[in-house]
Amino acid sequence: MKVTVVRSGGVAGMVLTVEVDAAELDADAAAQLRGLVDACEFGDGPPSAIADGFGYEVAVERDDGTVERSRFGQGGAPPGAGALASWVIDGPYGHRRAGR
Amino acid sequence: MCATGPVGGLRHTPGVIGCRCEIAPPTLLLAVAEAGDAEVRDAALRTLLTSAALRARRSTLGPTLRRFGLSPADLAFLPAQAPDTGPENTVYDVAGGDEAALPGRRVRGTTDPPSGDTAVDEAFDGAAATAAFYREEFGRDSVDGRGLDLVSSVHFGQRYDNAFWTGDQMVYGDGGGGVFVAGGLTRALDVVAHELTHGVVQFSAGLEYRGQSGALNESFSDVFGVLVAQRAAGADAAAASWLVGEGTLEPSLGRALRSMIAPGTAYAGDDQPADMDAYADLPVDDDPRNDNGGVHVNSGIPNRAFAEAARSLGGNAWETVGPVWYEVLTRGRLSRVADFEDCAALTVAVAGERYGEGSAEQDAVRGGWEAVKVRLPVDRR
Ligand SMILES: [Zn+2]
Repeated sequence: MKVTVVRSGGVAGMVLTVEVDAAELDADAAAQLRGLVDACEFGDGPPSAIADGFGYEVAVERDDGTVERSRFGQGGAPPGAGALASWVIDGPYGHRRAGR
Repeated sequence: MCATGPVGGLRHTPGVIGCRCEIAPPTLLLAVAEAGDAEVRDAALRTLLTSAALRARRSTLGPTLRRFGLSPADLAFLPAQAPDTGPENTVYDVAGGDEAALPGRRVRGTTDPPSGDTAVDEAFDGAAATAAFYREEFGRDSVDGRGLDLVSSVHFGQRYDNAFWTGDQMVYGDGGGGVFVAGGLTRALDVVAHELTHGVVQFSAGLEYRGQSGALNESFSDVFGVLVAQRAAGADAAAASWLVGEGTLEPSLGRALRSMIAPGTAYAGDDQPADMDAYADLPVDDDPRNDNGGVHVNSGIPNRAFAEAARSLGGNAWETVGPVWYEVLTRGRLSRVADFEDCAALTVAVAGERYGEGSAEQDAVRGGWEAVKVRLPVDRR
Protein backbone atom coordinates (compact mmCIF):
# COMPACT_ATOMS: atom_id res chain seq x y z
CA MET A 1 0.00 0.00 0.00
CA LYS A 2 1.21 3.46 -0.91
CA VAL A 3 -0.21 6.71 0.46
CA THR A 4 0.52 9.95 -1.41
CA VAL A 5 -0.40 13.37 -0.08
CA VAL A 6 -0.21 16.51 -2.22
CA ARG A 7 -0.39 19.84 -0.41
CA SER A 8 -0.47 23.10 -2.35
CA GLY A 9 -1.07 26.80 -1.79
CA GLY A 10 -0.36 28.44 1.50
CA VAL A 11 1.51 31.71 1.54
CA ALA A 12 4.45 29.90 -0.06
CA GLY A 13 2.30 28.71 -2.97
CA MET A 14 4.49 25.62 -3.10
CA VAL A 15 3.34 22.14 -4.18
CA LEU A 16 4.63 19.48 -1.79
CA THR A 17 4.19 15.77 -2.55
CA VAL A 18 4.93 13.23 0.16
CA GLU A 19 4.71 9.47 -0.46
CA VAL A 20 4.76 6.71 2.14
CA ASP A 21 5.16 3.06 1.12
CA ALA A 22 3.84 0.66 3.79
CA ALA A 23 6.34 -1.97 2.59
CA GLU A 24 9.19 0.25 3.80
CA LEU A 25 7.79 0.75 7.31
CA ASP A 26 8.46 -1.17 10.50
CA ALA A 27 5.52 -3.16 11.91
CA ASP A 28 4.36 -0.45 14.35
CA ALA A 29 4.39 2.32 11.77
CA ALA A 30 2.69 0.10 9.18
CA ALA A 31 -0.06 -0.70 11.68
CA GLN A 32 -0.50 3.01 12.46
CA LEU A 33 -0.78 3.78 8.76
CA ARG A 34 -3.32 1.00 8.17
CA GLY A 35 -5.38 2.25 11.12
CA LEU A 36 -5.41 5.78 9.74
CA VAL A 37 -6.33 4.59 6.25
CA ASP A 38 -9.14 2.41 7.64
CA ALA A 39 -10.51 5.43 9.55
CA CYS A 40 -10.38 7.71 6.52
CA GLU A 41 -13.52 8.62 4.59
CA PHE A 42 -12.52 9.17 0.99
CA GLY A 43 -15.07 11.74 -0.10
CA ASP A 44 -14.06 15.23 -1.18
CA GLY A 45 -14.33 18.11 1.27
CA PRO A 46 -14.96 21.78 0.52
CA PRO A 47 -12.08 23.77 -1.01
CA SER A 48 -10.42 26.36 1.18
CA ALA A 49 -12.50 29.52 1.33
CA ILE A 50 -9.55 31.66 2.39
CA ALA A 51 -6.63 33.14 0.50
CA ASP A 52 -3.45 31.16 1.17
CA GLY A 53 -5.32 28.22 2.66
CA PHE A 54 -3.76 24.86 1.84
CA GLY A 55 -5.33 22.50 -0.72
CA TYR A 56 -4.90 18.73 -0.25
CA GLU A 57 -5.15 15.49 -2.16
CA VAL A 58 -4.82 12.18 -0.31
CA ALA A 59 -4.52 9.06 -2.49
CA VAL A 60 -4.23 5.47 -1.26
CA GLU A 61 -3.09 2.78 -3.68
CA ARG A 62 -3.80 -0.72 -2.33
CA ASP A 63 -1.67 -3.70 -3.18
CA ASP A 64 -4.43 -4.94 -5.54
CA GLY A 65 -4.06 -1.72 -7.54
CA THR A 66 -7.28 -0.02 -6.45
CA VAL A 67 -6.97 3.69 -5.66
CA GLU A 68 -9.08 5.79 -3.29
CA ARG A 69 -8.76 9.54 -3.27
CA SER A 70 -9.88 12.57 -1.28
CA ARG A 71 -9.46 16.26 -2.13
CA PHE A 72 -10.23 19.06 0.32
CA GLY A 73 -9.17 22.51 1.44
CA GLN A 74 -7.56 23.56 4.71
CA GLY A 75 -10.06 23.09 7.54
CA GLY A 76 -12.41 21.05 5.32
CA ALA A 77 -11.03 17.51 5.62
CA PRO A 78 -13.54 14.61 5.58
CA PRO A 79 -13.39 12.46 8.75
CA GLY A 80 -9.99 10.81 9.10
CA ALA A 81 -8.46 12.43 6.03
CA GLY A 82 -6.81 15.28 7.95
CA ALA A 83 -5.17 12.91 10.44
CA LEU A 84 -3.88 10.71 7.63
CA ALA A 85 -2.52 13.72 5.70
CA SER A 86 -0.74 15.06 8.80
CA TRP A 87 0.80 11.67 9.60
CA VAL A 88 2.20 11.41 6.10
CA ILE A 89 3.37 15.02 5.72
CA ASP A 90 4.68 15.65 9.23
CA GLY A 91 5.99 12.18 10.06
CA PRO A 92 9.48 10.85 9.37
CA TYR A 93 8.51 8.15 6.86
CA GLY A 94 7.70 10.06 3.70
CA HIS A 95 9.61 10.68 0.50
CA ARG A 96 9.22 14.43 -0.08
CA ARG A 97 9.28 16.28 -3.36
CA ALA A 98 8.68 20.00 -4.02
CA GLY A 99 7.20 21.05 -7.36
CA ARG A 100 4.05 20.67 -9.43
CA MET B 1 -39.76 42.07 15.02
CA CYS B 2 -37.45 44.78 13.95
CA ALA B 3 -36.39 44.08 10.44
CA THR B 4 -36.70 41.35 7.93
CA GLY B 5 -34.97 40.43 4.71
CA PRO B 6 -32.12 38.23 3.70
CA VAL B 7 -29.00 38.41 5.79
CA GLY B 8 -27.04 38.94 2.59
CA GLY B 9 -28.73 42.34 2.35
CA LEU B 10 -27.48 43.55 5.73
CA ARG B 11 -24.81 45.76 4.30
CA HIS B 12 -27.27 47.63 2.13
CA THR B 13 -29.73 48.38 4.90
CA PRO B 14 -29.04 51.48 6.96
CA GLY B 15 -31.23 52.54 9.83
CA VAL B 16 -31.45 49.39 11.90
CA ILE B 17 -29.26 50.77 14.66
CA GLY B 18 -32.08 52.16 16.79
CA CYS B 19 -34.01 48.92 16.81
CA ARG B 20 -35.89 48.43 20.09
CA CYS B 21 -35.11 44.71 20.04
CA GLU B 22 -31.63 45.53 21.34
CA ILE B 23 -32.84 44.80 24.84
CA ALA B 24 -33.29 41.09 24.08
CA PRO B 25 -30.47 39.05 25.65
CA PRO B 26 -27.91 37.83 23.09
CA THR B 27 -28.26 34.21 24.18
CA LEU B 28 -32.00 34.33 23.54
CA LEU B 29 -31.45 35.93 20.14
CA LEU B 30 -28.87 33.30 19.24
CA ALA B 31 -31.33 30.57 20.15
CA VAL B 32 -34.03 32.28 18.07
CA ALA B 33 -31.62 32.73 15.17
CA GLU B 34 -30.68 29.08 15.22
CA ALA B 35 -34.17 27.67 15.68
CA GLY B 36 -36.37 30.04 13.67
CA ASP B 37 -37.46 29.97 10.05
CA ALA B 38 -35.54 32.09 7.55
CA GLU B 39 -37.39 35.34 8.29
CA VAL B 40 -37.22 35.02 12.06
CA ARG B 41 -33.59 33.95 11.82
CA ASP B 42 -32.65 36.98 9.74
CA ALA B 43 -34.38 39.40 12.03
CA ALA B 44 -32.88 37.91 15.19
CA LEU B 45 -29.43 37.77 13.62
CA ARG B 46 -29.62 41.34 12.40
CA THR B 47 -30.63 42.53 15.84
CA LEU B 48 -27.97 40.46 17.52
CA LEU B 49 -25.19 41.71 15.29
CA THR B 50 -26.32 45.33 15.50
CA SER B 51 -26.58 45.40 19.27
CA ALA B 52 -23.45 43.38 19.80
CA ALA B 53 -21.53 45.67 17.48
CA LEU B 54 -22.63 48.70 19.47
CA ARG B 55 -21.48 47.16 22.72
CA ALA B 56 -18.32 45.50 21.51
CA ARG B 57 -15.74 46.27 18.92
CA ARG B 58 -16.41 44.45 15.70
CA SER B 59 -13.32 42.27 15.93
CA THR B 60 -14.78 40.39 18.87
CA LEU B 61 -17.69 39.28 16.71
CA GLY B 62 -15.64 36.88 14.59
CA PRO B 63 -16.89 33.64 16.17
CA THR B 64 -20.52 34.82 16.07
CA LEU B 65 -20.21 35.85 12.43
CA ARG B 66 -18.54 32.57 11.44
CA ARG B 67 -21.37 30.63 13.07
CA PHE B 68 -23.69 32.11 10.45
CA GLY B 69 -21.29 32.08 7.54
CA LEU B 70 -20.80 35.86 7.60
CA SER B 71 -17.70 38.05 7.58
CA PRO B 72 -16.99 41.52 8.98
CA ALA B 73 -17.83 42.87 5.52
CA ASP B 74 -21.45 42.05 6.29
CA LEU B 75 -21.35 44.68 9.04
CA ALA B 76 -20.45 47.47 6.63
CA PHE B 77 -23.82 49.10 7.38
CA LEU B 78 -22.63 49.96 10.90
CA PRO B 79 -20.97 53.31 11.61
CA ALA B 80 -17.17 53.24 11.48
CA GLN B 81 -15.39 53.04 14.78
CA ALA B 82 -14.15 56.29 16.27
CA PRO B 83 -11.26 57.28 13.98
CA ASP B 84 -9.17 58.92 16.69
CA THR B 85 -8.75 55.73 18.67
CA GLY B 86 -7.34 53.62 15.80
CA PRO B 87 -7.77 49.89 15.66
CA GLU B 88 -7.02 47.74 18.68
CA ASN B 89 -4.10 45.36 18.14
CA THR B 90 -4.55 42.08 20.00
CA VAL B 91 -2.59 38.83 19.85
CA TYR B 92 -3.86 35.43 21.00
CA ASP B 93 -2.07 32.13 21.65
CA VAL B 94 -4.00 29.22 20.12
CA ALA B 95 -1.46 26.82 21.68
CA GLY B 96 -1.28 24.22 18.91
CA GLY B 97 -5.02 24.19 18.31
CA ASP B 98 -6.73 24.25 14.92
CA GLU B 99 -9.51 26.36 13.35
CA ALA B 100 -12.03 25.35 16.00
CA ALA B 101 -9.77 26.70 18.76
CA LEU B 102 -9.36 30.20 17.28
CA PRO B 103 -8.64 32.80 18.44
CA GLY B 104 -7.21 31.18 21.62
CA ARG B 105 -6.04 32.81 24.84
CA ARG B 106 -5.51 36.58 24.80
CA VAL B 107 -1.85 37.31 25.54
CA ARG B 108 -1.17 40.89 24.39
CA GLY B 109 -3.36 43.95 23.88
CA THR B 110 -2.76 47.34 22.27
CA THR B 111 -1.16 49.05 25.25
CA ASP B 112 0.54 46.01 26.79
CA PRO B 113 4.34 45.70 26.93
CA PRO B 114 6.09 42.93 24.96
CA SER B 115 5.02 39.49 26.14
CA GLY B 116 8.40 37.77 25.88
CA ASP B 117 6.98 35.24 23.41
CA THR B 118 8.78 36.05 20.15
CA ALA B 119 5.92 34.95 17.90
CA VAL B 120 3.41 37.00 19.87
CA ASP B 121 5.57 40.11 19.78
CA GLU B 122 6.47 39.76 16.10
CA ALA B 123 2.81 39.28 15.14
CA PHE B 124 1.95 42.36 17.21
CA ASP B 125 4.71 44.50 15.71
CA GLY B 126 3.99 43.32 12.17
CA ALA B 127 0.29 44.14 12.45
CA ALA B 128 1.12 47.56 13.92
CA ALA B 129 3.66 48.35 11.18
CA THR B 130 1.23 47.28 8.45
CA ALA B 131 -1.63 49.34 9.87
CA ALA B 132 0.72 52.34 10.25
CA PHE B 133 1.81 51.95 6.62
CA TYR B 134 -1.76 52.04 5.30
CA ARG B 135 -2.74 54.91 7.61
CA GLU B 136 0.30 57.11 7.02
CA GLU B 137 0.80 56.50 3.30
CA PHE B 138 -2.77 56.17 2.09
CA GLY B 139 -5.00 57.45 4.93
CA ARG B 140 -6.57 54.00 5.24
CA ASP B 141 -8.01 53.18 8.66
CA SER B 142 -6.98 49.54 9.18
CA VAL B 143 -7.66 46.55 6.95
CA ASP B 144 -11.25 47.44 6.10
CA GLY B 145 -10.74 51.21 5.94
CA ARG B 146 -13.16 51.51 8.87
CA GLY B 147 -11.01 50.77 11.87
CA LEU B 148 -11.37 46.99 12.02
CA ASP B 149 -9.47 45.74 15.04
CA LEU B 150 -6.32 43.75 14.31
CA VAL B 151 -6.52 40.24 15.72
CA SER B 152 -3.68 37.74 15.37
CA SER B 153 -3.36 34.19 16.66
CA VAL B 154 0.04 32.50 16.91
CA HIS B 155 1.20 28.91 17.55
CA PHE B 156 -1.49 27.48 15.23
CA GLY B 157 -1.27 23.70 14.74
CA GLN B 158 1.86 21.61 15.11
CA ARG B 159 4.96 22.84 13.25
CA TYR B 160 2.44 24.37 10.87
CA ASP B 161 4.05 25.75 7.71
CA ASN B 162 1.58 28.49 6.90
CA ALA B 163 0.20 31.89 7.79
CA PHE B 164 -3.21 33.04 6.62
CA TRP B 165 -6.00 35.62 6.89
CA THR B 166 -9.29 33.91 7.76
CA GLY B 167 -11.53 36.74 6.62
CA ASP B 168 -11.48 38.43 10.01
CA GLN B 169 -8.13 37.67 11.63
CA MET B 170 -4.47 36.67 11.09
CA VAL B 171 -3.23 33.16 11.93
CA TYR B 172 0.40 32.03 12.13
CA GLY B 173 1.87 28.56 12.39
CA ASP B 174 5.27 28.07 14.01
CA GLY B 175 6.94 26.73 10.85
CA GLY B 176 9.57 24.04 11.25
CA GLY B 177 7.53 21.46 9.30
CA GLY B 178 10.08 21.09 6.52
CA VAL B 179 9.25 24.15 4.38
CA PHE B 180 9.61 27.17 6.68
CA VAL B 181 12.33 27.64 9.27
CA ALA B 182 10.95 27.65 12.82
CA GLY B 183 9.69 31.14 13.63
CA GLY B 184 10.05 32.30 10.02
CA LEU B 185 6.41 33.15 9.40
CA THR B 186 6.10 35.90 12.00
CA ARG B 187 9.68 37.15 11.60
CA ALA B 188 9.17 38.28 8.01
CA LEU B 189 7.35 41.62 7.93
CA ASP B 190 6.54 41.21 4.22
CA VAL B 191 4.80 37.89 4.95
CA VAL B 192 2.75 39.48 7.75
CA ALA B 193 1.84 42.41 5.50
CA HIS B 194 1.07 40.05 2.59
CA GLU B 195 -1.52 38.27 4.71
CA LEU B 196 -3.08 41.45 6.11
CA THR B 197 -3.26 42.80 2.56
CA HIS B 198 -5.45 39.81 1.64
CA GLY B 199 -7.82 41.47 4.13
CA VAL B 200 -7.44 44.83 2.38
CA VAL B 201 -8.21 43.17 -0.97
CA GLN B 202 -11.24 41.43 0.57
CA PHE B 203 -12.65 44.78 1.73
CA SER B 204 -11.80 46.69 -1.48
CA ALA B 205 -11.69 45.16 -4.98
CA GLY B 206 -12.63 41.70 -3.64
CA LEU B 207 -10.69 39.99 -6.44
CA GLU B 208 -11.95 36.43 -6.90
CA TYR B 209 -9.34 33.88 -5.89
CA ARG B 210 -8.99 31.97 -9.14
CA GLY B 211 -7.37 32.46 -12.52
CA GLN B 212 -6.04 35.92 -13.38
CA SER B 213 -8.18 37.78 -10.81
CA GLY B 214 -6.75 35.41 -8.19
CA ALA B 215 -3.22 36.01 -9.44
CA LEU B 216 -3.88 39.77 -9.14
CA ASN B 217 -5.15 39.16 -5.58
CA GLU B 218 -1.88 37.39 -4.80
CA SER B 219 0.15 40.08 -6.55
CA PHE B 220 -1.44 43.00 -4.65
CA SER B 221 -0.58 41.12 -1.43
CA ASP B 222 3.02 40.69 -2.55
CA VAL B 223 3.28 44.32 -3.74
CA PHE B 224 2.04 45.86 -0.50
CA GLY B 225 3.79 43.16 1.55
CA VAL B 226 7.18 44.19 0.19
CA LEU B 227 6.33 47.91 0.29
CA VAL B 228 5.58 47.69 4.02
CA ALA B 229 8.96 45.97 4.51
CA GLN B 230 10.84 48.37 2.19
CA ARG B 231 9.44 51.39 4.04
CA ALA B 232 10.30 49.90 7.43
CA ALA B 233 13.86 49.22 6.21
CA GLY B 234 14.21 52.55 4.42
CA ALA B 235 15.06 50.67 1.21
CA ASP B 236 14.42 52.49 -2.06
CA ALA B 237 13.56 50.69 -5.30
CA ALA B 238 17.21 50.28 -6.27
CA ALA B 239 18.34 48.95 -2.88
CA ALA B 240 15.38 46.61 -2.36
CA SER B 241 15.85 42.89 -3.03
CA TRP B 242 12.28 42.53 -4.41
CA LEU B 243 12.19 39.13 -2.69
CA VAL B 244 9.11 38.03 -0.75
CA GLY B 245 9.78 36.15 2.48
CA GLU B 246 13.56 36.24 2.20
CA GLY B 247 15.15 33.86 4.70
CA THR B 248 11.90 32.22 5.74
CA LEU B 249 12.39 28.94 3.83
CA GLU B 250 14.54 26.03 4.89
CA PRO B 251 17.87 26.99 3.30
CA SER B 252 18.00 23.70 1.37
CA LEU B 253 14.83 24.78 -0.50
CA GLY B 254 15.91 28.30 -1.43
CA ARG B 255 16.34 31.89 -0.37
CA ALA B 256 12.78 33.26 -0.63
CA LEU B 257 9.15 32.48 -1.54
CA ARG B 258 9.08 34.66 -4.62
CA SER B 259 11.20 37.11 -6.56
CA MET B 260 9.22 40.03 -7.93
CA ILE B 261 11.99 41.31 -10.18
CA ALA B 262 13.06 37.84 -11.45
CA PRO B 263 10.05 35.52 -11.04
CA GLY B 264 10.97 31.83 -11.08
CA THR B 265 14.33 32.24 -9.35
CA ALA B 266 13.43 32.30 -5.64
CA TYR B 267 13.78 28.58 -4.83
CA ALA B 268 14.51 25.27 -6.53
CA GLY B 269 11.24 24.38 -8.23
CA ASP B 270 9.96 27.99 -8.37
CA ASP B 271 7.88 27.93 -11.57
CA GLN B 272 6.60 31.49 -11.68
CA PRO B 273 6.60 32.90 -15.22
CA ALA B 274 8.41 36.19 -15.82
CA ASP B 275 6.14 37.28 -18.70
CA MET B 276 3.02 36.31 -20.67
CA ASP B 277 5.01 34.10 -23.05
CA ALA B 278 5.50 31.69 -20.13
CA TYR B 279 1.98 32.12 -18.69
CA ALA B 280 0.86 28.92 -16.93
CA ASP B 281 -2.61 28.12 -18.25
CA LEU B 282 -3.68 25.93 -15.33
CA PRO B 283 -7.32 24.84 -15.00
CA VAL B 284 -9.54 26.12 -12.18
CA ASP B 285 -10.53 22.84 -10.55
CA ASP B 286 -10.24 20.89 -7.29
CA ASP B 287 -6.79 19.45 -8.10
CA PRO B 288 -4.52 21.13 -5.55
CA ARG B 289 -1.63 21.03 -8.05
CA ASN B 290 -3.47 23.58 -10.16
CA ASP B 291 -3.60 26.21 -7.40
CA ASN B 292 -7.03 27.62 -8.35
CA GLY B 293 -5.76 28.27 -11.86
CA GLY B 294 -2.25 29.26 -10.83
CA VAL B 295 -2.94 32.13 -8.43
CA HIS B 296 0.52 31.78 -6.80
CA VAL B 297 2.13 31.01 -10.18
CA ASN B 298 1.03 33.71 -12.60
CA SER B 299 1.18 36.39 -9.90
CA GLY B 300 4.83 36.60 -10.97
CA ILE B 301 3.72 38.53 -14.07
CA PRO B 302 1.98 41.51 -12.39
CA ASN B 303 4.59 41.35 -9.60
CA ARG B 304 7.35 41.96 -12.12
CA ALA B 305 5.40 44.70 -13.91
CA PHE B 306 5.27 46.58 -10.60
CA ALA B 307 8.92 45.97 -9.72
CA GLU B 308 10.14 47.01 -13.19
CA ALA B 309 8.07 50.21 -13.07
CA ALA B 310 9.34 51.05 -9.57
CA ARG B 311 12.95 50.33 -10.48
CA SER B 312 12.90 52.39 -13.64
CA LEU B 313 11.52 55.38 -11.73
CA GLY B 314 13.81 55.05 -8.73
CA GLY B 315 13.08 56.53 -5.32
CA ASN B 316 10.81 54.97 -2.74
CA ALA B 317 8.41 52.57 -4.45
CA TRP B 318 5.74 53.17 -1.78
CA GLU B 319 5.71 56.85 -2.81
CA THR B 320 5.94 56.44 -6.61
CA VAL B 321 4.12 53.45 -8.11
CA GLY B 322 2.67 52.19 -4.80
CA PRO B 323 -0.01 54.92 -4.64
CA VAL B 324 -1.06 54.11 -8.23
CA TRP B 325 -1.55 50.42 -7.37
CA TYR B 326 -3.35 51.39 -4.13
CA GLU B 327 -5.76 53.65 -5.98
CA VAL B 328 -6.51 50.97 -8.57
CA LEU B 329 -7.16 48.41 -5.82
CA THR B 330 -9.39 50.56 -3.63
CA ARG B 331 -11.31 53.11 -5.71
CA GLY B 332 -13.94 50.85 -7.17
CA ARG B 333 -12.74 50.67 -10.78
CA LEU B 334 -11.12 47.22 -10.62
CA SER B 335 -13.74 44.49 -10.95
CA ARG B 336 -13.83 41.31 -8.88
CA VAL B 337 -13.03 39.29 -11.99
CA ALA B 338 -10.45 41.67 -13.50
CA ASP B 339 -7.71 40.14 -15.63
CA PHE B 340 -4.13 41.33 -16.18
CA GLU B 341 -5.09 43.56 -19.13
CA ASP B 342 -7.84 45.24 -17.09
CA CYS B 343 -5.40 45.92 -14.27
CA ALA B 344 -2.69 47.14 -16.63
CA ALA B 345 -5.05 49.56 -18.38
CA LEU B 346 -6.26 50.95 -15.04
CA THR B 347 -2.76 51.47 -13.64
CA VAL B 348 -1.73 53.36 -16.78
CA ALA B 349 -4.90 55.47 -16.59
CA VAL B 350 -4.48 56.22 -12.88
CA ALA B 351 -0.79 57.06 -13.32
CA GLY B 352 -1.86 59.56 -16.00
CA GLU B 353 -4.54 61.09 -13.78
CA ARG B 354 -2.19 61.29 -10.82
CA TYR B 355 1.07 62.40 -12.44
CA GLY B 356 -0.07 63.66 -15.86
CA GLU B 357 -0.51 62.05 -19.27
CA GLY B 358 2.93 61.29 -20.67
CA SER B 359 4.60 61.76 -17.26
CA ALA B 360 7.68 59.77 -16.34
CA GLU B 361 5.54 57.86 -13.86
CA GLN B 362 2.98 56.88 -16.47
CA ASP B 363 5.74 55.85 -18.88
CA ALA B 364 7.31 53.71 -16.16
CA VAL B 365 4.01 51.95 -15.45
CA ARG B 366 3.49 51.37 -19.15
CA GLY B 367 7.05 50.05 -19.43
CA GLY B 368 6.47 47.64 -16.56
CA TRP B 369 3.54 45.99 -18.31
CA GLU B 370 5.38 46.01 -21.63
CA ALA B 371 8.30 44.18 -19.99
CA VAL B 372 5.98 41.33 -19.00
CA LYS B 373 4.17 41.41 -22.38
CA VAL B 374 0.71 42.22 -21.08
CA ARG B 375 -1.21 43.98 -23.84
CA LEU B 376 -2.04 47.64 -23.14
CA PRO B 377 -4.56 50.00 -24.72
CA VAL B 378 -3.01 51.89 -27.64
CA ASP B 379 -0.95 54.89 -26.57
CA ARG B 380 -2.56 57.72 -28.52
CA ARG B 381 0.22 60.25 -28.02
ZN1 LIG C 1 -1.38 35.11 -0.49
